[in-house]
Amino acid sequence: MDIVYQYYFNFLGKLGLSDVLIIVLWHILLFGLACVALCVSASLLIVFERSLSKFLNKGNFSFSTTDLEQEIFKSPKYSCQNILPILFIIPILAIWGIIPYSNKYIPVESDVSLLLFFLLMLIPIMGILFGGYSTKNKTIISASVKTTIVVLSFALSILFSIVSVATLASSFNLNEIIAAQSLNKGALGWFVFPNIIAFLVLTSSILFFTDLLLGGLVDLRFSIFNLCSAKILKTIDFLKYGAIFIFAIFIVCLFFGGYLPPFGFYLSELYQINYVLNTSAVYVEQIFWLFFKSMLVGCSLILIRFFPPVLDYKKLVKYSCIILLPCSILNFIIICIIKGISGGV
Amino acid sequence: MDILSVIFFYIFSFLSIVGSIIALNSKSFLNAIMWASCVFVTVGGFYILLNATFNATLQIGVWGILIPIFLAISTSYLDKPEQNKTKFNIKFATPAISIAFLLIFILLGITSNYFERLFEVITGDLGLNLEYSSLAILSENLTLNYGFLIVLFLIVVFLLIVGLNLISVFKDREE
Repeated sequence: MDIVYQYYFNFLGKLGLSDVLIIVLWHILLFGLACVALCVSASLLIVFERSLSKFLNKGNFSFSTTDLEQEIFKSPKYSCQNILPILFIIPILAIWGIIPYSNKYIPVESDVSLLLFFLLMLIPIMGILFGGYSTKNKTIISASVKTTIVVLSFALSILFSIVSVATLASSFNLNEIIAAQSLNKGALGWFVFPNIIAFLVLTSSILFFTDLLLGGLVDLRFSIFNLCSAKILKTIDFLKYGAIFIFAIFIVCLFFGGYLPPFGFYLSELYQINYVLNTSAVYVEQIFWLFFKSMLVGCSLILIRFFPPVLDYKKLVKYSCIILLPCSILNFIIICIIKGISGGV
Repeated sequence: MDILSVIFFYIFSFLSIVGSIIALNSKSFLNAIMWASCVFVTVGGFYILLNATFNATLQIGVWGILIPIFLAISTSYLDKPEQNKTKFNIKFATPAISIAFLLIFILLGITSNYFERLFEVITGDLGLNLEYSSLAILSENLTLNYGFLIVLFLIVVFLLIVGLNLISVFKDREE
């Protein structure tokens, strides 16, 4: 223990109180930035959705209440169920750490960041299942089990489409995947064109995945949020849109070149003014492109959510198991063969 | 990093031992599953300490998340009256799992040398000379050791989760 004390004493002695304060403030700033980015993106998407609903005269995005939902609202609320959103909030905040904002600025760089993203997507499913069990109501438990089964079937198709992108880039690192979508070719180098089947499978399955997680399906409207008390439900409601925005960033990183510009060159490199200014402007531009593209994709995802196909439980399972999953597996095999012929992984 | 890895090792081992003891002794099958998933996630943390991130993700994904889910789904098809009688508490297991996940992410952040790369961008790419001595010392110390920050951050998160937990326990008692 003496070594530990000595270690911290040396650390504090070297730095001084003001420096320690700066470090703490810097970390609070980083944590706050993630929260602010989440809030801003979610609020922008909400504004877009409301303006769209006014334009289409459709009212807010909502279904009529089902029998199951009425039963959920009638069932006794245990205060322990208010902890469940932790299983949703922690992945959403942690995902901000994996995203490559520019080619050098990635908070948590890992060789398997793509798999980590998929892993974080799976955590809320645990919340749905165990939240259902905590109600001690048989109909709600069966609904939660059904939702987990459908969500897992969609997750499988997501996994295969992700892995096909990883084989194209021959890496699980998100930054390397973006770098593989070469800058010189511009928009033509993005992975949407060679891997369009995976893109379509991923977007459709992500739409159903989020809808199922957040309780938007027609006959199975079960989510973690429905189990919470009304106060917490109101405060957490905007997180749904944050989740959609994060999925949009994920799609942009995999298929639309992430932080790369669509022209094949950086706008800030057109005029050479000063080395420091130009290089710092490139970083800013990279962040701008990432958020601009993901906002476009997020808005289009919300636009598609306005016209959802009416699918019940059986139709959804058929859709995921007969259409999406075989398509993604076939696509993965074809890409593996092409990659093998063209020069190996 | 040596002392930090030791601290993380002890936290992970504490969580895994406590989780396994509760998982073995709990009467409710679902409770046992939740604590077992906590144990598997913390074991993933050990893999990260050994610089085996791919193994860690497989361990956490397959054993920590998917197999508990499948076990829990399989219990719904059993018609045992004992299963309905036993109490199922999510009060302590969910915070334990979330704490384990947080720790793993912090550990990943440390192993990827986040600060080193950040200061490389400032100093190396832009070609700036840091004139402020305090900033230079700060960067030097951050690259050498940043256990102090991690401990502070961990304490704040831990207090938050424990506080939420306590509030829920007291509310339950009132009910």
